[in-house]
Amino acid sequence: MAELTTTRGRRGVRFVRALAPIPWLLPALVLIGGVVLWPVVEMVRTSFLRIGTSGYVRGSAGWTRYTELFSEPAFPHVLLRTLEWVVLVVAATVVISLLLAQLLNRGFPGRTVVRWALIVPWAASVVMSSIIFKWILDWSHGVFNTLLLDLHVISKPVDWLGTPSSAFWWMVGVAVFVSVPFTTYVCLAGLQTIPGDVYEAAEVDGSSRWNTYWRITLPLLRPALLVGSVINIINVFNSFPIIYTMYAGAGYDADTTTTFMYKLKDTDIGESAAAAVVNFVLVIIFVLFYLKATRWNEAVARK
Amino acid sequence: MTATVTNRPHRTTAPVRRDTRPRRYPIGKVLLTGLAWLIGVFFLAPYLVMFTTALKPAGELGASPATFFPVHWDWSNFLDVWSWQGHAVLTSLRVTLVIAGASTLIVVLVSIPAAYYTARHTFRGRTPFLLLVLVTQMFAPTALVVGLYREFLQLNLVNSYLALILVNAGFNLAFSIWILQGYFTSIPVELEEAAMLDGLGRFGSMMRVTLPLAMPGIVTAVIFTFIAAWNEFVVALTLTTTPDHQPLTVTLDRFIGAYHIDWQFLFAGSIFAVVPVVVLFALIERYLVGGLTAGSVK
Amino acid sequence: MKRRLMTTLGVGLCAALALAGCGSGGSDSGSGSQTKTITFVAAEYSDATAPYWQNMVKQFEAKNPGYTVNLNVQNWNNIEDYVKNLVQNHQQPDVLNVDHWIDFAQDNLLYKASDVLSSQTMSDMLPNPKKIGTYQGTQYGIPFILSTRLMYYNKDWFTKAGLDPNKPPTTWAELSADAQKLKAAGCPEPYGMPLGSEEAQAETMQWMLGAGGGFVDAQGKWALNSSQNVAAVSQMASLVSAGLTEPNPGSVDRTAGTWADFEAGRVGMMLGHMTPMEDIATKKLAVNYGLAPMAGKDGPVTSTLGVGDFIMAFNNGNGANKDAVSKWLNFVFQQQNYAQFLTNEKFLPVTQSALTAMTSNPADANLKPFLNVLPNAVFYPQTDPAWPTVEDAIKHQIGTAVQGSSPAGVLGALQQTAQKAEQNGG
Repeated sequence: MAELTTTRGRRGVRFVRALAPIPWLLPALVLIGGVVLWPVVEMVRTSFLRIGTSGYVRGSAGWTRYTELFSEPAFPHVLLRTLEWVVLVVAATVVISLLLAQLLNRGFPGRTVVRWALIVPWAASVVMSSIIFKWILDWSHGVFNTLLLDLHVISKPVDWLGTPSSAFWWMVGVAVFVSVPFTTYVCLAGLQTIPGDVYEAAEVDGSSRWNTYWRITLPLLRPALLVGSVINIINVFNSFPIIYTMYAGAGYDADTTTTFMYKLKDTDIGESAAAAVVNFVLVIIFVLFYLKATRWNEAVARK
Repeated sequence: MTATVTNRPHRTTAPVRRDTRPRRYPIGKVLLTGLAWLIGVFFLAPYLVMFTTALKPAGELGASPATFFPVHWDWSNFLDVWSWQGHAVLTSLRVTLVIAGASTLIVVLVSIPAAYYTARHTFRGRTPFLLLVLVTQMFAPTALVVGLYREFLQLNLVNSYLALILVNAGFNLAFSIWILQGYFTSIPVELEEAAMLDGLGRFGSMMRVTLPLAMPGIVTAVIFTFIAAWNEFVVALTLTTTPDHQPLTVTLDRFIGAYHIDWQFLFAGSIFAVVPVVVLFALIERYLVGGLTAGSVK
Repeated sequence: MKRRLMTTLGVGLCAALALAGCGSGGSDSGSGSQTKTITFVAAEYSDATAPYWQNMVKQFEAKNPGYTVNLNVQNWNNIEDYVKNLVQNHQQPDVLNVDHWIDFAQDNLLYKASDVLSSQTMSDMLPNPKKIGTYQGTQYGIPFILSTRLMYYNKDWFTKAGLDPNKPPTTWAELSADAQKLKAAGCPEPYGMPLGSEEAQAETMQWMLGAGGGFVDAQGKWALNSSQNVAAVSQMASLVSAGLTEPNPGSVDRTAGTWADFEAGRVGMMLGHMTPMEDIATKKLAVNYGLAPMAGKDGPVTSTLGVGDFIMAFNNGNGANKDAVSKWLNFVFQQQNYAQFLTNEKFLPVTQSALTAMTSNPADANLKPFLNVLPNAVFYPQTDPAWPTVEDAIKHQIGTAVQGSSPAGVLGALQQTAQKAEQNGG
């Protein structure tokens, strides 16, 4: 690039420079603008409309859909649940994935088969996985109770998904279960980018295994971990099939803002859209907070 | 154990093994293998239940306590599901393949240049671009279906393959750009510069040097997009109106009726939905985590 | 930095808008001239639904050259969202089959029934169902199928518990006592109570009817927290706390939960319409069961719960679709076409001619107990504009009233929801 400045005028250079990214980025911008941002504008617009249960737009609602949303008795609890949900699922996912990636990075007989097995929950749709877990955990005809009865762990069937409090933990488990494969692969791929000579150097230094992991592997895994956890935060935050499928119960005690938004849609599309906007603001806050806490700029942005 | 950890044997033999960890005692290795296998079974277990349930005759589905295996193995469920409503499952499997394949292709073609450029250049608007990309990842598609429907209505593309292809491509672009951007950044620019000195142009060096090295990233992006598109449900449900344009997820959902749920068909169909993706994965799994990058970047 | 982000967003949006400009506006603004192509969105009741409608469309188009019906069969779980989306985008179907109509009528989207049904079809319609499609004297909703509820009880469990298998309980006290005996005999679910979000409103309303209550009072005003209703829900709660139901009824779905468990021989007593009976017959399940009116507070209920689904015609393009819609609806209600649907799906009819045909059809003989209670059926307040909102609130909240929350408190909150919805006009 340096040689360009000497041959052309500064202004021309600036202009050419400003335009240079266009051919590289334009297709992406068009796709994002057309498929994602346009419906977002529509969503925001909907949150200011008065819409009947028929779906018919009856007029403008101003900010009333937002005030209604914030005065929903269940709303504060839903916010707390959301925080709990995201933090628990993402933290458990990342920790388990790191361990699993270390394990699967080793050589052992049957490693390929185990890796294939790990692919299955990732390849299956989350809706399907939620349905099968609900089926397995069913109190009357689920095989999980059969298993525990056979092992004499329980003496009569337990209704695992019956109450919001117990269902919530199972749903956290399922969310971790379906998130781990992808995250593990991100970590595995991250491990592969670490040059072998780094370890050799550590070996020469006589660094302990834990020390090597803590001081070398983990920092070098940071970009992969960042991508993995940011994607997970967003996906877990926006995940609705698990809770929606597995807990059909009464009340909103197991709901996150995303499933709450979905339930509101049945009675008021406008309020549901307002909840979607709030949901989006929350996820942005979440991610920015996370990026700030992990000093994203140092890790990903090139200076 | 501790001895091997702290006092590693220094290998001097010529070929450096990829696994640089110390040789372990067989007992450790056996335990490790056993643990890994258990984990494998654990991740497979729910889908094995899905499989055995798909083999149960209708009358056995409600049995309590449930049996692990069918009393009568009803293999015909796997055949009957294909002939259900004029081969609807077969038709929608084809639809899903087309949509997932095409949207994956678009994502790759669009995200590589964008990711490459942002990884290799600092320019005005780079950070906003990356933030924009990240932000697009943050919307729940369920909240956007009304807008999507209105958009494709105006474009006269409701109930078309193109609409679903574009939506799936658009919603998966962000991840792809992010992961590729990370990979391109991790590949030393010196490799490219060397190639450019060898007479390859900027484009040529990208194609010949950087892209092959970024293969694990590309494969990850491809797989992520393909799976997401393969399993997409909410948008397809809204944007398709006739069975000949409905992907597999929408068709399978129809087994959950108002008054009957054909569990055995639902699960048999789901097995068919999962197997192709798993096989595809298994085929390219070694690229996904293969030692490509680490092996050549020294 | 912030400004740059905005610029980027702006660029993206412009690109989006440019993309939009390429498309031709597909809205149907043309009025006056008659259209011969209509869209029919139908709910999928079973595997037989889509093939049935496909066949109907084929026959209709053969008999009426030039007319086209675009058929769109939607799963029950999704049809609600799907239709709302269409309406919000001003793409409402021409004919629709779902379980509510009042909100569409309120937004002036529907034809009057008399505008699109021939006088012959109109006069064929039974008076009771007609009422649930009528708002302030005008009929908009065309009832399409009906169902009634009876108590199913497992005779084998009754025998095992030392009860007379031909004497099902008629009062709440008897029901509780019988359930206790069933429990003692080892029946895992003496009374099945599906109060999950699938259909909690049906179970609830039948219990309220047993106490002489209901969702609305005699004047049609919302009365969710009446003393009769509180008594009914308290009675339900007492069954739950005595361990005579599923452990957590609030998360039990009807189809996949209670009904499936009854068919598997685990349930002593439950409410149901025709489907469990049909399932047991077609799957040849070994369940020996009886049918009886639901037990009430002091005696068997005289008014069973009736549920109706509707078909309705949308006035799109200032009457441009009236002729085609009318032709299609009258074709659907022709006796042999309509009766075929009912026989396929095992539902009760809304027309006299289909009723007559079904009464004499041996294939429908097993529907008789359900037909017998139809004349005294009490339906949901489906003609009230607040009903869609109230129904949803009941589905999501009534379960908490049997799992620890106070019945009066939950019903009071529901009553408030109803009154608020009333003020907002649905």
